[in-house]
Amino acid sequence: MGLLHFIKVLTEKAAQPITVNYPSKLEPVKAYSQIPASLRGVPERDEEKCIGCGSCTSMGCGRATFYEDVNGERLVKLFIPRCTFCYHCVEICPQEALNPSTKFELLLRDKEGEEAYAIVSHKMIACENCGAFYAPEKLVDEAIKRCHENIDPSIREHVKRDLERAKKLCTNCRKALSANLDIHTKKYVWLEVKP
Amino acid sequence: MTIFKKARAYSPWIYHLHCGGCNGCDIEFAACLAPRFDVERFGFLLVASPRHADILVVTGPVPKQYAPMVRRVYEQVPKPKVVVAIGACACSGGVWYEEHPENYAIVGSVDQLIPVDIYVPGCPPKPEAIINGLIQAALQLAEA
Repeated sequence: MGLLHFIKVLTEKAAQPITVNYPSKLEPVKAYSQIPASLRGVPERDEEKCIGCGSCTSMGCGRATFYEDVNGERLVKLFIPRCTFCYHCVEICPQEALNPSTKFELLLRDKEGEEAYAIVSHKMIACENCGAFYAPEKLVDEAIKRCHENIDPSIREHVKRDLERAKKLCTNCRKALSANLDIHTKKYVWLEVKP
Repeated sequence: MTIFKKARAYSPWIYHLHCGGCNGCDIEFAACLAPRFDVERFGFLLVASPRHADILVVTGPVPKQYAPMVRRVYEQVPKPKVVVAIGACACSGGVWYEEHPENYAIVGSVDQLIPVDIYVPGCPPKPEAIINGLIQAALQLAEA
């Protein structure tokens, strides 16, 4: 059976050309050899799910992913020529906003052009006191939401009020004004406040 | 398209310059020359000397020790010429890229030494992506 099968396969394969017809100059159709489902291409970022936390920028090879805060917007960028498809960003993303893809045709003529970057922008919150932009709005909302989920139900309402006040201030102003606005986090411990 | 341009587009000769890569891109490039992907059906031919070449294919992050050789090989390629950078390392430094301080041994990307016309990102790029880049290089060569 082994030898017969071998001869059969050999004759079948020999009858057709092995060369992949890609990319044909004459025909516009592109025939690919094979694209397995697990092929690693450029990871795609879901704009709805991404909150701009920057976890993906801490991982990955060669700092391909990074963010810039420009004019009240956080731009999370992926520099495609430097991406090695290691998928550390996909693994670490807390919101599961990054998805694997099989996109591999990434020809570029201009490395600094728009095509070289995959950009997602997030609106940032301005501090009411000093006016500085300190964090993306979605990130703060997500943090507050998680805080509500994990906190002791007896003090949930009280903490909710504090967090809404703290959200409007940047980190430095929050520290400076925490006593005045009654939002210091240690007050539950120090003063034994029981709301 | 004049006959000279057409002749140039359909018979580009390639010189493969390997500078310090991990061999991943080189194996994918070798697969392009093999029967399965076969760039020779478009007239591409791998040559052993840069003096015969039209297209210079560069792979790998360039070690600083090798930088003068890259310039020398580029100058030896007769005009008109097209440079294709293959892989994340040749395009931008890849995993060797460091901002502060700079890498002491690696230049980072090939375009700091020689002008690059076409970038093929990927680590390593699929043979189809390399063929796509080479075809575009041949078409650019015809227009030059």
